[in-house]
Amino acid sequence: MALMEGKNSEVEIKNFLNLISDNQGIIYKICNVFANSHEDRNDLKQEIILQLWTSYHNFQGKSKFSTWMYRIAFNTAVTNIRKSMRHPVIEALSGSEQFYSEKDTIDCLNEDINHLYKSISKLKDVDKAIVMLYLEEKSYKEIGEIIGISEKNVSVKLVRLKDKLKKLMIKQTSHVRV
Amino acid sequence: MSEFSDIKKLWKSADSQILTNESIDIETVKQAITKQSIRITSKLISSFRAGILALSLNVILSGFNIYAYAGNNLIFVFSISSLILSILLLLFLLYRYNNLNKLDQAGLSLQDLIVAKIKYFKQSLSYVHHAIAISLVLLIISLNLIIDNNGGHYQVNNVWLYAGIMIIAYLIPILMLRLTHNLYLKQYKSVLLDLNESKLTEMNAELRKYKWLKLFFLIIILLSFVVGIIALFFKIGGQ
Repeated sequence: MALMEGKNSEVEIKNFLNLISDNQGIIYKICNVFANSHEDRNDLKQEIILQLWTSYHNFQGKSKFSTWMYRIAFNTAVTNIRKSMRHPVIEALSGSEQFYSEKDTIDCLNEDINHLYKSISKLKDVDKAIVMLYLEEKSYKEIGEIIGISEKNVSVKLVRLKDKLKKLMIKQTSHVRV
Repeated sequence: MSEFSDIKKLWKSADSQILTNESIDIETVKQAITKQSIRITSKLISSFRAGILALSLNVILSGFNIYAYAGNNLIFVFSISSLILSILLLLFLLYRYNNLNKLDQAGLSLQDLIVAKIKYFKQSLSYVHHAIAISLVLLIISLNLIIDNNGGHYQVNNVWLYAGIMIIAYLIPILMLRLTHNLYLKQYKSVLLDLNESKLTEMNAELRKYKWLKLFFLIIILLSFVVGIIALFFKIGGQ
C-alpha cells in the first residue's frame, strides 16, 4: 500500500503529522536518552522526523505505527550518534562500554528523571533501546521485533540490564549527593 | 531507588513533563527538510573535492614522470602536457569551488540560497564532470607510467586495448556523475518546491528514485566483480 500518492498529498501529510503527534513522546524520549546536549537533541529530533517522513511510504500497516516509529527512530539515533560523535569519547570504563561526555541536564525535567536519563545514556546503544522499550511496557515480543533479536535474548539481556541500571542509578544519585 | 518498579514509575512520571507545549507540525518537517538540502549540497561538493584531490595527485605524479622519462621524448612531452592540463583543471575546479563557498557566505535566505545553488550547479556541473573524468584518466596513465617504468622506457602491448580502456575510464565516471548529480539536483529542486508550496512530497519522490539508482549501481558493481572473478578464474585455468 503506497501511502504517498501525489493527489492525496495533503491528506497524507495530515495523516503523517497526526500519527507523529500522537506518538511524539517516542521521539523526545529517544532524543533525551541518545543525545547529550540541547543542540544534539534538536539535531537528532530533526533527523528522526526527516527519516520518518522519507520512510513513511514504506509503512504498510503490518505492525503498529509506534513499533515502526521506534525502529526508525532507534536506527537513526544510533547511526546519527556514531556519525557525528561531536562529543568525543572521554573515558572507556567497564569493558567495551563507552562513556561519552557528560550529559547535560534537561531543564523541563526534574532531578530524578534527569538522573534516570543520565544512567540509561551510559548503557550501550542496543541496551539503551531495550531498557527504554521495557520501561515503555512493551512486550518481549515487541522489543525483539523492534531491536531485531529473539524474545529469549530480550529476557536474558533484561535480567542483566535491570540490575545494571539500578546500580547506575544508585551511583548517579550518590555522585550528585557527594 | 532500590527496586526496579520505582524506576518504572519514575520513567512514567516523565511523560507529563516531556510532552510540553512543543508540537510537531508542518514547520517541524520543513525544518528537517532544510537539513536534507544541506546534505544534498555536500554530496555535490564532494565531487569537487574528489576532482581537486585527483588533480593534485596527478600534478605530483606528472612531475615525477617528467624526471623519470627525461630521455624518452614521447612520454616526456606527454608528462609535461599532463602536468599543464592538470594545473589548469585544478585552477578551474578551485575557482568554481571558491565561488560555491562565496554563495554560502552571501547571507541569503534559505530559499534564495537554494535557487542560487541550483543555478550554479546547472552552469557548472557539466564542466566539472569532464574535469573529474579527465583527472581520473590522467591519474590512471600517470600511475601506469610509474609502475611500468622500465629504465626510462614504457611499452604498450596493445594500443587499441589501452585506448579503449582509457575511453571507458573517461566515459564511466561521466555517466555515473551525470546520473547521480542530476538526481541530486532534482532532489535539491524538490526541496525548494516543498519549502515554497508546503507540499513535502516532492523530495520524497526524488529520494525514492535515488534509492533505485543506488541499487542499480550496486548491482552493476557486483556483476562487474563477479565477471572479473570468473574471467580471472578462466585465465588462471587456461594457463
